[in-house]
Amino acid sequence: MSLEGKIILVTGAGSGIGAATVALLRVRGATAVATDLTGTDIRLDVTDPANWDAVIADTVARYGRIDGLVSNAGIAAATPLVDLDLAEFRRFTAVTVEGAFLGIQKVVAQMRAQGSPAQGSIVVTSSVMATQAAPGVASYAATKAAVSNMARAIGIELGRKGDFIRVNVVAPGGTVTPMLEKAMPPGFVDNPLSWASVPLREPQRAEDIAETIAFLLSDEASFMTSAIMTVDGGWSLT
Amino acid sequence: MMACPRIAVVTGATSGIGRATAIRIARDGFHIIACGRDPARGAATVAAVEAAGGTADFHAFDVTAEADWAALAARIVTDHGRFDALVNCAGGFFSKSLPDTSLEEFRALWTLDVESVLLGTKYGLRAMRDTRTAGSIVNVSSLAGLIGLDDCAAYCAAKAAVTHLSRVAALEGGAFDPPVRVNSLNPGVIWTEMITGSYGESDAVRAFAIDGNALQRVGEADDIANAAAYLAGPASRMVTGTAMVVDGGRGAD
Repeated sequence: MSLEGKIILVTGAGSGIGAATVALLRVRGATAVATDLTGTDIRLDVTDPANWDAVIADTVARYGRIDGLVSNAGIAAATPLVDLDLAEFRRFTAVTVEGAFLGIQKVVAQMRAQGSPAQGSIVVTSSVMATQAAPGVASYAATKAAVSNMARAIGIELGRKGDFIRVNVVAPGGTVTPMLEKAMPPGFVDNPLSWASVPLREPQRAEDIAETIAFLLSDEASFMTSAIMTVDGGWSLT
Repeated sequence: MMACPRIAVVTGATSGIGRATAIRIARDGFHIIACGRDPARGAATVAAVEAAGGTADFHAFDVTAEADWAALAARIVTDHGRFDALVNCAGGFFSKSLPDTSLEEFRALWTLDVESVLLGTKYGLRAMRDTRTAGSIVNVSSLAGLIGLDDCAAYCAAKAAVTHLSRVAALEGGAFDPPVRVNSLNPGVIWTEMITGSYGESDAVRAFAIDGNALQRVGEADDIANAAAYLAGPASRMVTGTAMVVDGGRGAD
């Protein structure tokens, strides 16, 4: 599953799934351009169109092109709906939905500028919460559902326009990351009882999600677009 | 070669997706037990696996016969002591409008497509449990198991059954120590003998195979073999109970 020579931009790469993805892509031979608000050499606020333009221009100046995008930046919080204020909901919308929208739109424009038909592979990090329900996750679930189906629509749209740009979605279940540990009560992640309802009886590691992202980016998945790959140990089955 | 290579069984390995899968996952280090009815075609699959640098045995076998599955599982437990991956590719297809489909035709396809997978999953789960292998079972279903397709009621029903049976098997396999994973693999229209045998190889058929895909190309057996390799191996360590759609975007709209 080689990604030799591919130039791949990763958002939300400062920690968790994004950081694990960058590490794996580099092992597979890719040049992974790691971006985040903090924790990476390249700062990218995915909600800022001008910041996107600058990062894409800089990447192209440095490496000549962009072959892939991992739209992974996201936020999480568990707030009961009755306590949820509109500002927080809009923040989720800005980062998760608008961040992915801006990144895909601008990276696709870059891929098209690189040749015809355009080539590339885009993976969006969604969540099983895009299709499952749980208390306290209204803004997270709604925005993950939005970004998931937006990605699928773009996959169909790009294919029909004669591009070879594939767009797929990875939908992780509970994954051990700093984001999850911050969103859940202390001790949650390390308590086996937290994962008793998962058929495989353990949480995902960030590295597990990175494997699926790397597969989707690779030519092994060259007949896949608008697909959702769930990685949740079977949690969403029941 | 490892002292104790990982063992994979591939059914329907004498043609199409099954043969491509045998060749592909052998590359990942599995020893392949290639199952099918026709020894001559089985020998060709074994030769193709070996030509690609892998190892394989052919096992002549009827996927719809419970005694054949019991014997295969017993042989794997005895000879190898481990059972790492099972890819159930064997299956059939016919196209006929529902009012014209006879109960006999429906039952014949149900036996070939559903009972074969039920038996394979049953004996695969047993042998993986008894050898304490963290195995992976991949049941090749179809996009037609998730969406409707004109004149394919029996096939759609059968593949829907395969998809959902796999989900229940994932729940049960998760309880084993170590857990066994079960997923379905749901291809769109793939250019194999199953399609050309039913519809021919005319330009119109080829156009049908391409035009419904967002990616505007024919799906090949190798595309499904790559997905089967992902589901069979450690890259999908935490993936179970999923229906992996590989369809060029056909089913998304």
